[in-house]
Amino acid sequence: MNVPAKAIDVEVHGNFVDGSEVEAGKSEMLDVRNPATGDVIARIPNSTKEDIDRAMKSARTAFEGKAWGGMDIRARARLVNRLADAFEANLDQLYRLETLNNGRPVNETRAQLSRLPDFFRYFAGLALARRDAVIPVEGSYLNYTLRTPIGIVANCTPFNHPLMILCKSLAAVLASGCVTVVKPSEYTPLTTLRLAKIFTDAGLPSGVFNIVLGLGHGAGKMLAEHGDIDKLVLTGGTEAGRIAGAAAAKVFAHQTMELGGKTPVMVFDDYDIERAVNYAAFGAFIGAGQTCICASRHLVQASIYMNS
Amino acid sequence: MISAKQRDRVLSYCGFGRDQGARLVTGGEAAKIPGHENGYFVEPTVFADVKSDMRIFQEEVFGPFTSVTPFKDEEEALKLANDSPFGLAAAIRTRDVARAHRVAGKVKAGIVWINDHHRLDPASPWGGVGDSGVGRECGTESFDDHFHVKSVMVATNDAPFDWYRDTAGQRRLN
Repeated sequence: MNVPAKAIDVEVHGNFVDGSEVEAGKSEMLDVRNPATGDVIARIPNSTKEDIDRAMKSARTAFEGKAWGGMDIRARARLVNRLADAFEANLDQLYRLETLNNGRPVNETRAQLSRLPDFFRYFAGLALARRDAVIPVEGSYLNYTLRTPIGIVANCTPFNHPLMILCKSLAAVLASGCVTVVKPSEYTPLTTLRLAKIFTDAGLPSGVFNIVLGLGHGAGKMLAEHGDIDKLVLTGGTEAGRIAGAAAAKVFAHQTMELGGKTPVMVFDDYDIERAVNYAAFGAFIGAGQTCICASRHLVQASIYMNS
Repeated sequence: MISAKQRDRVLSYCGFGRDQGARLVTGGEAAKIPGHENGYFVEPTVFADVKSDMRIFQEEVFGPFTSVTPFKDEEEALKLANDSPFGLAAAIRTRDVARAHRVAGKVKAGIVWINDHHRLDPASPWGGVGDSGVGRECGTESFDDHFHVKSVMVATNDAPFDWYRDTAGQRRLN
């Protein structure tokens, strides 16, 4: 692993609210470690209810404000494309930081992150190509649909693919004109914070992309329970999803949750065994198996199964 | 592993595999990496002869850990594959085109890879069924779920509306 074994400078971070990192306030501080060495590399606040409220207020203000809420759709699509370019220009520092923080080998992380700019470009394209419907109804009536961005998307992201899982949601959030409050895993907040800075420097209006730091059952739960969220996005364990989903249902927020998995891989006897083994190793062990889609149950036809 | 806690969790499943009678093929221990003695490492672990009622078949481990189970035919493969509270992804390895699509249609999953694994594309919907979650990311399925839809109904016939009558020219809606 391409990470320093000796202790490095410990960065102290705060929540990212209204376009910049803010002081943690009275929150207790949490250690962020390099899992390859166990070294503490950063400290983050365990956000309180007041901290969450502040980030939510920043998001709501941006959503309703002129700079973002009033931005023309073409201008927004151009901006999202510029953010994709900014991501690409900063790819080196992002994959190195992500590896430092979650321990995933550099070659895997670089490959994964190099694909993320295209997520922003794809959704920027959808924003421009989108059409509303004119619906044939009975009688002398014209029926059509109008769509308005839903508002604040609360997004709780996990430690295994911090930026990829963030960007899957963030690209759609930005292209649609929504705003977001992200609660990254307490283990891996560093690249999410770095990306917010990169996007803000590239012209994303303040308050569109906010970050609250802390524990899942603390800050994450308070965010999911917040009465002002319009959509909950959560990638994590099934039990965390059950708790967050129940909280979000109380305010009738939309929900998109990607939770646990136990991916079966069915290997039939007509398939090349060398290839099957290669896919088995890739499927099961990439990311050290810390993926919700990892090949965790191999089912092998008895005619090619080794009994000892 | 991301943390000592996660490493210990994976090791506990190595224990469940042994205790419930699965055959350990490789791994099963914390890995020692010179120069990284304080890091969190687990050996790549494979258990064979795993039965569908074992914990390592039913529960998510979230580590470099996989199980191997034999099946007789396509029907039994699907029965085993679908014997899970989860339904995120599934993979099929075969050269039989008809079987590949048949199994893809019947397996309980939101994502299926035929002769591939882990592929993700911004245009392709991503998500699961059952205990694997709700909704989809990526694709138009995701984009469309970022909007409120307002349906606007416009009367284009300016004739006076008699709300007691239900005629061909003026259908009552309730």
